[in-house]
Amino acid sequence: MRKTAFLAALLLSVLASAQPKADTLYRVSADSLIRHLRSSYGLKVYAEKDTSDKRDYIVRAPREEFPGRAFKALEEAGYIITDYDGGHYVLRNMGFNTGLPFGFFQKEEKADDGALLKYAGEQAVSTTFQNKIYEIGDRGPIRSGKAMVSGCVRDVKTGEPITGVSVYDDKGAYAITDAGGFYRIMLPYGENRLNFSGYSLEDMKFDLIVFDQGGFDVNMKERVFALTGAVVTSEGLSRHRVSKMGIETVRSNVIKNVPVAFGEADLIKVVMTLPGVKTVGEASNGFNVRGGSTDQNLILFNNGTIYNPNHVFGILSAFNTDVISDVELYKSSIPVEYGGRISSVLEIRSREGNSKKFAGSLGLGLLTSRLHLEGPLSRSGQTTFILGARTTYSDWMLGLLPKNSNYANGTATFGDVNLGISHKLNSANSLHAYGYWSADRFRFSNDTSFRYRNASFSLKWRSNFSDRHSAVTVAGYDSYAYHIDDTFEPPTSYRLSSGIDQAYVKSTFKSALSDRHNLTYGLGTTYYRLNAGTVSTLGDESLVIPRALPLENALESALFAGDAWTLNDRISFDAGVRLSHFASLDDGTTYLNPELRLSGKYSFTDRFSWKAGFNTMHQYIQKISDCVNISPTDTWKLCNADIQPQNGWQAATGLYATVAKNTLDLTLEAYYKHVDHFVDYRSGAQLVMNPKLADELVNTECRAWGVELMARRDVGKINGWVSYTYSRSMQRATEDEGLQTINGGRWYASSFDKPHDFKLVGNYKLTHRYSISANLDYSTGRPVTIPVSKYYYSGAYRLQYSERNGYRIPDYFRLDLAMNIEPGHYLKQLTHLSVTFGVYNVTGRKNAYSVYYTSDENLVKGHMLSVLATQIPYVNLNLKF
Amino acid sequence: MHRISNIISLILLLAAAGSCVYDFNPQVEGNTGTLVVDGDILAGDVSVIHLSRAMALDTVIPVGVPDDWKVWVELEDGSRIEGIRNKSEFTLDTRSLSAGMKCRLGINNVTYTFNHRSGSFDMVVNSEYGTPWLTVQSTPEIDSLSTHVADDRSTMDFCITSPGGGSTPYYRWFGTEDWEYTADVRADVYYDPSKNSVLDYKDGNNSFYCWNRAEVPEIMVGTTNGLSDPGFVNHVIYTYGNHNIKLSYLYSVLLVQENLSEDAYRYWYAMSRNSTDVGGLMSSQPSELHGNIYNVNDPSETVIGFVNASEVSSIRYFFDSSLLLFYHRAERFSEEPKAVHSSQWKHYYYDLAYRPAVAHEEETATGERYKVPDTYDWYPRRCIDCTYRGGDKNKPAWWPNNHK
Repeated sequence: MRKTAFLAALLLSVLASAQPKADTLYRVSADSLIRHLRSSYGLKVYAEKDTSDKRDYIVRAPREEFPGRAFKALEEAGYIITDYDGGHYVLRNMGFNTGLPFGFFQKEEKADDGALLKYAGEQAVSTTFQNKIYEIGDRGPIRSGKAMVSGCVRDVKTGEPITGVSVYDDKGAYAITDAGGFYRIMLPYGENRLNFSGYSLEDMKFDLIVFDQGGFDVNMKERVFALTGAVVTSEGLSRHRVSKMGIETVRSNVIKNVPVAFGEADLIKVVMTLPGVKTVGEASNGFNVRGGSTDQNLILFNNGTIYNPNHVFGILSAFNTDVISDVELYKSSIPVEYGGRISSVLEIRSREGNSKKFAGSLGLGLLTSRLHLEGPLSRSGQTTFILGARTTYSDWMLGLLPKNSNYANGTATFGDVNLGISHKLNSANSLHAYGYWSADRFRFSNDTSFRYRNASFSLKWRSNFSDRHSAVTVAGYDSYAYHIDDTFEPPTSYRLSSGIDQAYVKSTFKSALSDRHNLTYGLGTTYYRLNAGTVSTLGDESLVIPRALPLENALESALFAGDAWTLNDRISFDAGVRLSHFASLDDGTTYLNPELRLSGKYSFTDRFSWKAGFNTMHQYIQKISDCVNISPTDTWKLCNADIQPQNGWQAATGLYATVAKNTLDLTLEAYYKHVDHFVDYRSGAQLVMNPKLADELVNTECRAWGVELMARRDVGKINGWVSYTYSRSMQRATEDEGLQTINGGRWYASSFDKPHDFKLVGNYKLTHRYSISANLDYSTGRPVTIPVSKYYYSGAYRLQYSERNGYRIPDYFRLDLAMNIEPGHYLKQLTHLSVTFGVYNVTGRKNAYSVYYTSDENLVKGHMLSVLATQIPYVNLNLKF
Repeated sequence: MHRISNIISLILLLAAAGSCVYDFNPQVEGNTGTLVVDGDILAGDVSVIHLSRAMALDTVIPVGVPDDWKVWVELEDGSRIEGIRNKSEFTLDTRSLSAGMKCRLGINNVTYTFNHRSGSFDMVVNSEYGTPWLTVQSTPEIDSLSTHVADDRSTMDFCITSPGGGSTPYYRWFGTEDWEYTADVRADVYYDPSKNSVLDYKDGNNSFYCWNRAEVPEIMVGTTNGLSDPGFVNHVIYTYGNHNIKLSYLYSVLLVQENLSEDAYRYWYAMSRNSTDVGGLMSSQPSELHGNIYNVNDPSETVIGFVNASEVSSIRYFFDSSLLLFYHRAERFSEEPKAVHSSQWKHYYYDLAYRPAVAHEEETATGERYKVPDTYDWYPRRCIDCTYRGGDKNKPAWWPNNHK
């Protein structure tokens, strides 16, 4: 060991002595720097004296590299360096052409020099190089105290902002970039080292001299994984720095590596692999978070609410992963700016689009084809777009199903389109417009067809109106509608329609009051217009009387304020209040409810911390359906005088550790949750087109508790996560309805109560291009109501059912495997083809979706419906250009 | 390219084979013994009420109630129509009831204990059940019952046309069906095991034609609520597949229409959904059914059944399969007869469950056919004896042909 150390020291000394002599200029003016280049290096440097340039330049580099570094520093200060005829021309904010302009002989394609120069100038303030010293603020005497440094982190290749990058110094200051890639951090005056670290990005470190508050933008690049050893990352760092808990982040590249049915990268399916997230079955719409129902999740796509996030009755999700940047699931500490749902918020953000060049991809899978395009709309890259579209040819799937599946005569089609346009008004303001549309159409038989669509449009203004204050204002319109056409008999043929339209506006402000207090506050309001049901005639022979339930109108508003308070390096708190107000514009009923958002953190070390949190939530809109999952026949119902809002609270605590050379994050979280006024239904309830719907609803209370264990590794050859959850979700009727009281008023398991849940998502990188992915899922079977006896009634045996959810279907187990082949890293290659092939449900287990009994005359038979009951091989091609 | 398309096709087929329904029979702790009251009060007709008990799923024989049960209909004036018991069936003469009257059903079980003091038997009411007062609904006539064969001839719909106009827009139909069917092979002879001899059928007797009967098992409910016309036009009430033996030869159904109260309709509708709309991708959860019969002394006791009071109308319909050639055997008949000599008759009859059909014939070298002495062509019983399929030789008196 000693011998090795000695040899290393000897080698280092030899290398050091062999290094060329370094050249240093410390705090000199531009004139001095240019003179130094002329005198010490004999360079022909022509510069116009700029008296307004008061900067001090610091350049330190070996002599061979010194001129290049010096010119770069001048470039970063706003000079344009043009090399011509052996000379170097240093001009302030302008350059000159050394050849004929592009398109000189094609006047109509003449380049916009002004825009090009502006683009170049803006790029110069962004920082990509680490081996320099950067000054923040106007130079002056070094003061005591701290100054605010803010900036934007972007991808060096595409110019897109990067979310979730940890920004921290070596003394405990910490910030994380928001959805716009923006960060704000308080640093001591003087010399600092600022670290930038994000998922799948090369870590960056910068030496800063902070004279005053100022901006510091950073361009980061994707990390090429070192396969021979672990790479230190710090996404887990955020777990130890922020006091919020129960937050799960999934990046788009992770989504694409998780094997799913038919090989279609699927955002919702990946969310379902996270601890605390469950689903009732394979082809089920929606998901359940910590014992909550599917309608208790707020699904936001670029701030728009998506009411039905599925295609093909739940086999695929309604989001095109090609345009997705990342997904955040809040299952415990729900940020104060979000509300309106009891269980969780799933925030899905799309990318802004490449600001430097046109790019795109073309995908081909078993069920869908997809195309996405992105690029700058202006030469300066200030305006970008991203467009994604998918369509399907899934008809074949139903057409070939066995007859005994009852779906053999079915058809299913869908399509979705995403469009995002971002425009950078200036360095502090940007505008973003988003549009989303998806539609499904399917039928299981010739006489009944279903259609539903989601649409969402929003306009967002992001403004960093000072170094300490920023604001995001978003306004939008969302729409969800479905139609069911029933043509079984011409006289009774009808179309049933229902839907929700909502318009909203919300402003969220963030202010860094000090290095200890970061304030979030704002207000928002949503106007709902709900069509609870409309029946119209279908066909000339129809005798159906057109009718409609009254439209429901309501306004849900909120004022919110919260403070992220960092007491010291070890202790921090997040405390907020959200005052939610709901007003039914039909019967004048109003509800005013304050909601609390509290969480705290204590860090035992930098890598080991404890958190606790308490949340209260209210929900004013609920799904009306007696299906256990999201169905296209679901209607939604707003609160009014008869239907009270759901209210709930959740207390949670957790331990977080990062071990194994900072590469493995361990999480243990426990929670208890209680919900009042959750609606269930009377047996045989008439839920569709019922003007007296409230009479069919039963108030229940719910309680859920659980423990979630998770180990997650985001980097290295082997990455992924493994989790185990033990949880329960129970409910009981709170109104005495005599014999009709559900289960006699006793607690019963909710339809998504699956106590044991084990999940593994793993990726093994064989080489830079080849990797193997696995997805393993085990859970207890879900509760069901099944027959416990039979009786002869009206000509046949009928079934007497157990108490609600008195039994369970068999346990669920599934293993999926996939092989991913990434394109080669050839920079000049115009297209890059990635291929994924794999097998869904490798063991071919016939997992039960439901069990049921049928009575065929004198015979009662038990059946099990298994949706994807065999191995499903798949191939998926994705061509990037 | 062709190879690639083949590979893709294979993948698609494998994937498509994924979704299936499998048999599933978990161990369930049965909840047996619940009283079941099946039947309605039929004004202007004879009402039949069945009493039975719910039983375990694997039980085959229905469980009736002991002899000490009574059923009656009580009228507003306090008079009672007592039910006449036949096994688990109680027949009540409710012909005097008409629309608009109020009545209720009563049930009790009584035991008699000998009173030594009085020297007589005292009646002890062990339990008593009843319905609330029910208003007798009026029911319109049925215009017609017709059938409609699907384009692919796989199914046949039975459709009702009725003018509507009952007390409520809610209707239920129930029916009794009779059908005549045949064995696969017509036998001219039968075997008498007591004499070990094969005898000719006489006087048209045979084992070829059989009759069977049942109630229509389908729950048939409908409503004209929300329609501009109060009636039904070719409304499908039940459907049979083309393999159904009921439609193999001659089928008849006596369909009865009754008007339902809204509560009764909801009960029947929920029961229908529990029977047919369960277990699918978007199926609703099964409903607990709450009827209108309660234990007078213990209202918390669960009783199955909903009693409705209504006038009824009916129609009889015949379907002759030979006219449409609708029926198709599920499996083609391919049984070959066996020539059995008298020395083996007992063995074939008792051990192999075969039956003789016709005398066995063979050909001479010159091509002439002759009957082999004491030798008959025997088939499995299921091919020859029509009673093997559950029916009997009890032909209804009103049956329109002269088959025996």
